[in-house]
Amino acid sequence: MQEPTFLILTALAAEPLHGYGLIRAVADLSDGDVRLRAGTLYGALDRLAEQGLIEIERTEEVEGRLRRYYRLTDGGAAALTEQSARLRRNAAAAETQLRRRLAPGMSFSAMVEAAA
Amino acid sequence: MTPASWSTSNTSLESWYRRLLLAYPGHYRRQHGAEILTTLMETTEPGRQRPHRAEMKDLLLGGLRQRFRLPSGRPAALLAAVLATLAFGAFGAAAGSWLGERTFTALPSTAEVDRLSDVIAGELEGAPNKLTAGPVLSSSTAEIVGGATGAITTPGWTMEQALARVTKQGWEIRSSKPAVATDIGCTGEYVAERTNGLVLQVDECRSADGVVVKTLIFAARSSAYLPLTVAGAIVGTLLGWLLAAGVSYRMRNLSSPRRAVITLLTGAGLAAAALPVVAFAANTRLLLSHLDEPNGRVYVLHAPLKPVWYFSFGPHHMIAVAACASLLCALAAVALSRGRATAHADRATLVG
Repeated sequence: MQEPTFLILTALAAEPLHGYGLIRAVADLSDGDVRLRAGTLYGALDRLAEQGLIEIERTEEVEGRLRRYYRLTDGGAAALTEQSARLRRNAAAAETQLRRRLAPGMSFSAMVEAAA
Repeated sequence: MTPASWSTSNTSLESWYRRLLLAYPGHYRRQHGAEILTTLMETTEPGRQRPHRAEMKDLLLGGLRQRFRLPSGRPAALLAAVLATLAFGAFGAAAGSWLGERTFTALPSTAEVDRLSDVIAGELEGAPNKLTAGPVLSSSTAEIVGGATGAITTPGWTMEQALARVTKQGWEIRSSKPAVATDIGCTGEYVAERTNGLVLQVDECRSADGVVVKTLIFAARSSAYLPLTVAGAIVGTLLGWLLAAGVSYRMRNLSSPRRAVITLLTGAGLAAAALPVVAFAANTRLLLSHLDEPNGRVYVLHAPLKPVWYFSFGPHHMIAVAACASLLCALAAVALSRGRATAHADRATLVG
């Protein structure tokens, strides 16, 4: 799952959102790192709807403008849970590896200290 | 931008977005165009007259991607798209090849071939020799041939003299095979070419009874032929994929009887395409293997469409009929998929 897809599902996990709301939510969730454009967003929404991960919640018309709200389906929630667990697992693994990288250096200096 | 400021928003930006949304396929625009437009108008800063360059690129690429996309998780749609792409690629190449053949030099009339035959046969000791001019054809599996064949029994006939006479008529001798006696007694093959794109091939076969001379006239391959054929193949390939992608997307919103008919038509169209595609592929192999022979007969990719026996079975027009049937099925499937009977489109605020 790519980062924008993950963030779109994450944004929809809390509440149904329309296109502009999603763009803002994704920007907030990523601390401004991921700024979706409409073409990219709707390409992703179409694909996610096809895969059954999201669905249209309702369509609103405000002053002749059409807004469509999307929500996460149960399948989408399951996929997001799974992906989130995988990311947490990978992040934990990365942290463990980084600690091990640090460990030999420390033991080496400890050995030098012991020798001195 | 808030809903309150929409009414005052400039229409110039909106019409920019509407034009950019034309990059998307129609069925997609009908379903999502209005909401994408809302989102675009909401994300843009106030007072902007035209979209950012990056925004234009995003919409154009998004539209293009959508046109090429297939519905996910549908292996049958993928299979149909791959086969349609192959078939349309082959048909496109054949169409390009046909167009390319229009740029060949026109073959001479039967009367002209007859006259040239007389020149080749020559007159010896007052008695004219005669080659029987064959019909000027556009035939055989691949080549374009106008020809004459005949037995010249006069012992005095020589190829050298015949070619000298031909040269006086404006032909230029391009190549000649060494006079080596073969099993069937043919001793040489000479090729002459005219700058206008016609090739004349003269064969002589000597036997105890005399000389048998065969001549063939055909048009050389024009320089436009290959580019047109390749361009046809590319256009056909793209068209095949785009049509298949469009039909499989539009099918999602149609009633199931209609979907069944479209599936049936697609299957029939692909089945009918099998024979022409095989024939075109076989001719492509012939064409490629003779590509380096500047004086050889010209093979054209679309020749199986000509009314000749291409396969050892079936009627003369079999391949042309199969190709037409296949295209008609494809056309019907596309037309039927365009129906909007059950499409839940946002008709009130259509874009485009």
